[in-house]
Amino acid sequence: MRFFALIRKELRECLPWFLLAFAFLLFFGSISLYTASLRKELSYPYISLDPDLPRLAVYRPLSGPAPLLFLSAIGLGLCLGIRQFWYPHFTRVWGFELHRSVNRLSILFSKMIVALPAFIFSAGLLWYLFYWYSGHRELFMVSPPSRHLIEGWIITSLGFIVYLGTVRSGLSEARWYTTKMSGLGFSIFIIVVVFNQYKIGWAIAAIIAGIFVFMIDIMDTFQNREF
Amino acid sequence: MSELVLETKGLTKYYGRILAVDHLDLKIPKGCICGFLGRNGAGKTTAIKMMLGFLEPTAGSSAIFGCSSQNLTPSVRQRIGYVTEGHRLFGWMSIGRIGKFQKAFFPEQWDDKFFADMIEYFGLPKKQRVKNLSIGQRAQVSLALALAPNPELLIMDDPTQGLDAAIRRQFLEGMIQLIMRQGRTVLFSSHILGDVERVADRIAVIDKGVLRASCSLEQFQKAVKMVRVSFTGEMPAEIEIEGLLHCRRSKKELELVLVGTDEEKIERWANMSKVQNYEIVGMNLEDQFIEYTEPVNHKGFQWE
Repeated sequence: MRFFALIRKELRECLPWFLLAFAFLLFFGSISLYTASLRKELSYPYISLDPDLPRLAVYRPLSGPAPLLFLSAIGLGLCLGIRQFWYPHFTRVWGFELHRSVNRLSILFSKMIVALPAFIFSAGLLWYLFYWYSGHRELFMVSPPSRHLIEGWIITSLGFIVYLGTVRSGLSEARWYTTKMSGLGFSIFIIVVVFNQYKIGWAIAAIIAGIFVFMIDIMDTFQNREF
Repeated sequence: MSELVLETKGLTKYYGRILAVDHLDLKIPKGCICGFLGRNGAGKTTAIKMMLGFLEPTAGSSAIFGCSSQNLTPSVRQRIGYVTEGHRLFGWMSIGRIGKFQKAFFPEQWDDKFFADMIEYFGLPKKQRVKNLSIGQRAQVSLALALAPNPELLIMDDPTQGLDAAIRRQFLEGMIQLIMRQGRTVLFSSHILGDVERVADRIAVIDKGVLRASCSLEQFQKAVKMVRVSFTGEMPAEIEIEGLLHCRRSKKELELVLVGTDEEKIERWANMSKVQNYEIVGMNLEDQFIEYTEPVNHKGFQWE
């Protein structure tokens, strides 16, 4: 009951951001796909002969929605992180929020449990929708490979990495021009690492490692931080 | 002494090089209403935050219901009501909704009727969002939220700050509602000494992080005295009397602020020092507090 109360509260606070990210990607992604379906020359998949081209580049017809997915996931990560961990500091509600008959980790997890599905629904599932749509033979001559679906989910999880980076920065008590932004810096580092991988497996491993490092650090900081 | 609800031992907090709380040894017995007094920046909020486990002490320890403040378990937190400084609540929630939210954390103790009665007593619209309430109304919601679970210990950080006299009175009456329930303990910090005088039976005075007094209100009021003295001849250059805190001179009179000096001693000193006349001036708590916490060599502001 207590945990559900926390979840409901977090859900209500984060819902506008889910919906905004969902609407943004749905609207502009749909326009992008529709435009691509009208242009004959884009109906064929782009086959690169350049072996040095990073494999994670998303080719047509999903090359239009892919940058939008990236923008949307990163934006959602930033917004949720700020809403959940920076805003209570600005409005000084941490005292009220933390003085509950639950332990601190429950409060932390209630926030994260709400954030995770936000990425799944607002970015991941929409990407799946775009992938499914671009698989229609009457619209696009050749369907995108299944690899593109995974790549979309990798981009989505980069949004979650940015969320964790924002959370870590929000919890830092250092000044903004010193180490406060190191959380965000680390998330940018992981993005760079992921985009430089030729094999999807390594990209996934980098993301899992990033999430692991962030989670341990965030849990420890949240437990011991002064509010 | 009866069972202790809250106890701090050598509680100390540094912010960088700034000493905010210095070896605070405070004991709050069960069933008392303790006013936690101090000037701005005296360290009251820092001390309260350490007691509730929001700040880590640099040294020393604090315990509530025998449980270390740094590791307050959910079951112990459930027994503590807390009114934050500035009455910071979730602005997007309506009064009704924030009540339901709070109730979820006190499933067995929450008194729906009490909460509804308090909201009605304060004349607050249940559907109004917290962010649209004035600070006074927020204070009332805050108090109702803290009292409805019927906490054994209520800690309030400057709850009447920024409230007008009428709302302050309502707020205090709300607080008295809790006090009327037997065995409840209240610790509240305040600048408004009239409020403290009205409801507290015990006070703790903190000055520049140091606990200067922790006793019953009656003891404090008896201990701090102002004596106006006039002399037959010239006034002595130095005054030597036990418990002398301040000495102010005018042309014909001396004003002495004494701590812990009983009337017998004053009379004895008066006889020895060629005092023509002396009078113990009545002081309210505010005057006593100001005199007690004023720096010893403070000269005061003087118009040119």
